[in-house]
Amino acid sequence: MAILHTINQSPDTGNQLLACVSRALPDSAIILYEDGVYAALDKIAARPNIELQKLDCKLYAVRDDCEARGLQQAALSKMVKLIDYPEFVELVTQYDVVQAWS
Amino acid sequence: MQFAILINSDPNQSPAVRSALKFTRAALEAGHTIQRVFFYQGAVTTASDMLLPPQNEEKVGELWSELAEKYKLELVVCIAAAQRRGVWSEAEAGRLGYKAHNLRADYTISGLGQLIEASVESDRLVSFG
Repeated sequence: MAILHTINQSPDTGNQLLACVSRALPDSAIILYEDGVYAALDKIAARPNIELQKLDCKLYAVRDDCEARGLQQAALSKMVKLIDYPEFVELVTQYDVVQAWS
Repeated sequence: MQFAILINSDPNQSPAVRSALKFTRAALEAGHTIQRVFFYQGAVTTASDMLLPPQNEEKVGELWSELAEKYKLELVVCIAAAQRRGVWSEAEAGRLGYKAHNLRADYTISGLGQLIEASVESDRLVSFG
């Protein structure tokens, strides 16, 4: 079953991202939104305990939430694709189930 | 596709109620249907008609009402979470002897069974906060 994981907390305030990354399968995807988008910052994504570059599933971040927090695309990991809410909706339809880590 | 939306967090402490609103609006504009929106835990305060945010802040409860009127959405508030936080419909307040009531029009108070039913009957349950 292909799972769409959503994360709305920064990796510095909770362990949702680490818990999710260790369970995400290659056919799944992760959406970072709200404070979850901080993990999209290249310097955070590359931390030894996170290592999003080793992730073999797709990784998205909500553009509005990045902009609201002043995260510019140049500072984000190349792994991350920015999406808007219509694309968030489209992703929900493409996966079998949505797992919110909050 | 039919979605059920669950919102868990207080609009004064988390952006979840607003994120859910953006998601719901985008889903409706893309032609999907929303089976039900369930306000649970701290999110129930969204349904209070007696909140006065500062002038430069949007009234998120009102924005949900506008969306509900436009698309005939069912906005359901968890009864146990609502009673704990002082959100009362006229009927519930009267039944339990409270003089005031503050549930916004467009919202209804009901139980967790409505969340279970929504998750069973819809194609996807999407949780915020």
